[in-house]
Amino acid sequence: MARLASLFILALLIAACVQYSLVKAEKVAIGDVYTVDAQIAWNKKTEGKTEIWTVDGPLLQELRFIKGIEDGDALFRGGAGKKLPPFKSKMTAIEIKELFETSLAQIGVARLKTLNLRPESFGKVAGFRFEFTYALKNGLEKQGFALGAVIDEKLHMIIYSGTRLHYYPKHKDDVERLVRSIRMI
Amino acid sequence: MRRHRLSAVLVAVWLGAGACATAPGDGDASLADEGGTAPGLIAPGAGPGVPLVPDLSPGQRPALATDEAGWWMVMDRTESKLKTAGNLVRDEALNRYVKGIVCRLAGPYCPDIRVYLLRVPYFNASMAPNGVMVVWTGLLLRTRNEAQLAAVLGHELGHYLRRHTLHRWRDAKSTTNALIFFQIGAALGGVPVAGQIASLIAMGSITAFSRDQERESDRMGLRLMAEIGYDPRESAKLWQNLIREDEADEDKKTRFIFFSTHPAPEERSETLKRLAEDALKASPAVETGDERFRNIVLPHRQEYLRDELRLRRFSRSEELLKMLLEDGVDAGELHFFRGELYRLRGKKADGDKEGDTDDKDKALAAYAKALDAGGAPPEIHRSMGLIYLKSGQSEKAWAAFAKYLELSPDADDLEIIKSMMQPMG
Amino acid sequence: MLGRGGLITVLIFSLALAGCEVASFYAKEKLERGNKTAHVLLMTPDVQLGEVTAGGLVEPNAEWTAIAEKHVVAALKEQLAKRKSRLVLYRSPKADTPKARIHTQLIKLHNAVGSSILLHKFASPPLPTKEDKFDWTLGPQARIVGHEYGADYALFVYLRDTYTSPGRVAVMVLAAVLGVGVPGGAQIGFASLVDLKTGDVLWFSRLARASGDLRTPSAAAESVKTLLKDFPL
Repeated sequence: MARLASLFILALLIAACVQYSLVKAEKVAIGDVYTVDAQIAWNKKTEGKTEIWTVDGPLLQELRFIKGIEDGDALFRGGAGKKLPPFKSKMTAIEIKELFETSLAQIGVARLKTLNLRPESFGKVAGFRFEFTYALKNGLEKQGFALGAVIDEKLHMIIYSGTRLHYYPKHKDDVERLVRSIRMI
Repeated sequence: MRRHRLSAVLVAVWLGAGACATAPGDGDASLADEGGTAPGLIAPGAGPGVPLVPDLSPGQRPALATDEAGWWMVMDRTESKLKTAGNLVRDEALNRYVKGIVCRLAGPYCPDIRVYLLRVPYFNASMAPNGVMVVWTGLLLRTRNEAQLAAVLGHELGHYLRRHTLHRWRDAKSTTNALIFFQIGAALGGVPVAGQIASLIAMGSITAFSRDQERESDRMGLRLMAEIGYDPRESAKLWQNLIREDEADEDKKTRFIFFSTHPAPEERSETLKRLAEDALKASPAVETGDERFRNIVLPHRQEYLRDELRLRRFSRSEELLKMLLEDGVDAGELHFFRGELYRLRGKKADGDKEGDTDDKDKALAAYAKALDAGGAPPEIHRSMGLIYLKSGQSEKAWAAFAKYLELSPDADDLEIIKSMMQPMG
Repeated sequence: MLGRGGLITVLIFSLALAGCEVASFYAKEKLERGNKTAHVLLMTPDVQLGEVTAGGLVEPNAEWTAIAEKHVVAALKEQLAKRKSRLVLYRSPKADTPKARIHTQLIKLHNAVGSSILLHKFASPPLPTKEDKFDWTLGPQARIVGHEYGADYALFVYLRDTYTSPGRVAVMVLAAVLGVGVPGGAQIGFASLVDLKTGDVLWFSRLARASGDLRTPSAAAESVKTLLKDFPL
């Protein structure tokens, strides 16, 4: 619990600005492109073109919907004033995976491994999927998978991740059902 | 009430932002010796020409009731976290190698120093008062031989032997003690935040060593390396290479951390050169340890170059690769990464520059050199395939992908590559 | 190294606003266990003491910390004995074995869980799905630790205590005369109890106040007692 004190302070500050809203276990529209069946109840916050869902808190697990980022947009929001490398609309799945790795490396994760990049349908659209593992700088091990597709030159991704112990496996099956329920609007 | 709460928030934000840059004590695994230097905080040191002697004896531990013991305790705890850090490099041979050099430099102090290698793609190393030395892999990528590595390690040992952290802490204490009255005055004047921030700036400055301490460590490091036979001229060469990389940077925001907190690099390089000449007169040390460095550090260079390219600081990485090519070791690998750099940058030719070509052509030329030289990883064919694909040369692309799969049949992206080879139905 | 004093100031300030020095959350008010003695594994306590200098920096103090660690363990033993429970001391695994790695991951996970509890339970507003729930857990692999020590529960303790130096007292007095508030020492702590059969976090407590001491046995006992208010055993 070494950094809990400072975390608590930051938590107070961050929490003061972040209000989560409830996502019920029903059909939910993700932007105006597709719907999913949420399977279980989630808590949701929004960061630009990204929705972040969690059950137990984003430090433990999160389900991230990147809703159609355009040429020049970053995959994630970087730390203080840091701009992460941009998505390009002509990128292949290989390069999007590369962008994902680069973005996480710049955010500062360790031992990142991506596995088994393969074609997979995103709703009815041809897309891709890969799994990944990494560790935070403090050593906590995380695990996840990403499903994505470029639709009308915009990148859509669903990234589920959580701690290797307990929180990733906890809702893995729910999320697998959720991604199978994608219906294009 | 409102204003009080606001000031509390400001202070916390300030501290939160500073927390990651703080060297000793905050438990951050990066442990960099970085930060700014405030004027007026000058550590007790010896002037030029005065022989530097260690400030503590081998095996010395501070008495429990001292301020020094407090910082040792904090750093002991940080060390225990370091042992399970996510980016700790566990490679045994590499750890043994770096520790071995440290040991020879440290002599009787060897048992007092523990070395931790962290996978961080920047040039840095740090030294904690309890003997914990942290070395980042971005440093191993940039030192060109064992003597240059020894120069940095010796410099860090200098901080330990001269107990720089302790002196810095005591200075900071007296500075902030004096500042408190300014704070109270500011609060009386109705600007509580200004007072707080003034003292925070003072506090921020003590997380780095002072410039004089850095100079002292430079001299100490140089002496330690020369004493055990390393060519002391390599120290100045290292700084010159770093300056060269820095100057190549089109985006000046990414200067070396080392430069921001240390004496001006040009001055430092000159001083080191002069000191090296003196040291050479005393003992003709000429060892550079190229062979050992190549055998143990270079096998890891591909990983570190991958990390480097992920930083997307293309202009400086380009210069770095150029310098590494001057050594000519494993040229195929270096040309491959040059190709990767151009492929990732993807810039169009600069019309004002005569003979400049598109990055994709630069990439293909570099890949060709890499294949010629040998030693590039199989991904080179995948990269070439991606470039061909984008320029509409599907058949060449498929041939390249086929070659990639032939060389790495268990490739992790096998399925997607196959799907790209039979496109559009 | 320098932020602590300021952080603690803000912490105390924000809690003073909330008007509480100790607060806790629990899954069950009282744990059922019949007549059996509960074995509670005390994870290496994270205790650190220091002094606030006149200028407001915190100087860590190794001697006080070593004394406080002894007093805290003794006080915890006594508190648990009153609750028909026995304290077992955890020892970090030395060798880097697969089992040791699971231990390490569980402790790091507890860190993340603790931070999540602080974020989403103590600092408002709560996560909507957890408004009336306290169901964080380390998961069933916590059993591995429990099994090794024959323990039923794990107790995590974190304490930071700072004291006002004579110089700081002088500054505080002068400032008070002039009508300005300058903070001195403070005590903050967190503690949590984990069920080692299920991994569930049964109870989580947070202490923050401008008083308290860990350097003498009786004052340390009072601090531990306050931290364990509402302890479910």
